This record gives sequence, structure tokens and C-alpha cells, in this order.
Amino acid sequence: MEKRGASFGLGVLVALGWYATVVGAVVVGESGVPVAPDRDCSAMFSCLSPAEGVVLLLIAGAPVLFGLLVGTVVLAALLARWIRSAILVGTLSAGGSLAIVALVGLAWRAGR
Amino acid sequence: MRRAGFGVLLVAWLYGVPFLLIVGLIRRTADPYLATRAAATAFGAATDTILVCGLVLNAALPAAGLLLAALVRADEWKRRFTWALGGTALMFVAVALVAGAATAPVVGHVPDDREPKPRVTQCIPISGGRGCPGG
Repeated sequence: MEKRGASFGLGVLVALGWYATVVGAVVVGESGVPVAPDRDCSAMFSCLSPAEGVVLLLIAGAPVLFGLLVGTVVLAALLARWIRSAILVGTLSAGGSLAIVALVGLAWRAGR
Repeated sequence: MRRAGFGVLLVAWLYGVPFLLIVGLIRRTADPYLATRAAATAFGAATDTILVCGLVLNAALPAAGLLLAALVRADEWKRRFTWALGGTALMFVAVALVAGAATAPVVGHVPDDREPKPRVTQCIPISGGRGCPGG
């Protein structure tokens, strides 16, 4: 069998790079915004720092993140057969699995 | 060595530019607590710098890569940076869509501050003009 597509591992690496970039940018962006010193923090989770928000996301959003990762790996494996660029494979699989997870989430909310 | 240099340039464009643009747009759409007018101006200026850097590097990094690849006749990298320029165009379209959805300009915006506005506390009567309450 001739090798036409991109490397699957590189594609997944590029996709993981996208997740790291977006999460890192949101954390850096949010921590650069000054918050009011006298805000009401009595409710639970109302005054999370960006880093605490990431930890909460890792715990509470674990099923969604797992779905995202599975979608990314499956999409990367499929796309790597036809597309030669690992960057394109990783970018498309990250974006595609995000779209799939968003659609599943919307369908789940509509079905409840 | 040459390969590593081109790779760093491409990865810096691929991840660095979206990073800068996301950070800039979060700061731009946030509602920051800024006690003084000077702090608000500084915050707005920093946000503008981040956004402008992102937009400039978006075009400059692939263009520089393409130029360097042409200079050293690295055809493989020339091809890659030509594709990257297509990504540059997509990124500009995405930013333009965001900017079109916003009501205020994306660059050059100064957020609100909490500095109390100076009030007139003394009334000086002007003859023939303004009178003052209470005499």
C-alpha cells in the first residue's frame, strides 16, 4: 500500500496544539482583565480565577472533553488518509470534532 | 538547521497569531474594572497593541517565510508558506466577521472607568448672565 496521506501522529499533535493554544489564550486573556475588588463572592463558583476555571472544566467537563478527544482522533485517522498536510489534518480534526460535540450538545439539550 | 528555522516560523504563525487575537478579543469584549481614566487608557492601549501585533504578524510571518524560502530555494517550504497565506486570508475574514458583529471599533477603543467626573461645586454668579440658587 502506498503512503499518500499525512502522518496520523503529527495530525493529532497539531490538533492538541490547537486545544492548548485556545485554552492558554483564554486563561491569559481573562487573567489580564482587572475585576472589581468589592464584588459579591458569596455564591459558589461565582469568583473563580481563570486557572481555577480550567481545573473545574477538566473535572466537570470530562465527558465532553473525552468526546472531543475521541472525535479528534477518529477524524484525524480518517483525514490523514486523504490529506497530505499534517497541519491541515490536525486543524480540521480539532475544528470538526468541536463542531460535532457542539451539535451533539445541542441535540441533547433539545431532546430533554 | 534551516528546516528547524522554517518550522519555528510556521508554528509561530499557526498558534501565535490565533493566541494573540483571542487574548486581544477577550480583553476587548471584557468589562474590566478600571479605577482611573489613565488605567482605562493604558488597558485600551495594551489591548490595541495585542490586536495589531496579531493582525500584522498574521500577514508578516507567512510572507517572511515565503521570501526566505524563495531566497534559499527551499521549494517544499515555499509551497507550505503559500498555503499559509491562504490561512492568513481566512484569519482576516474571521476577524472581519467579529469586527462586523461589534458595534464599537475593535481597535482604538477605551473602556469605561470608575473615576468620578469633576463636578462644579461652587457657583459664581455672572451679572447679566447666570444667577445662583439661594441668592
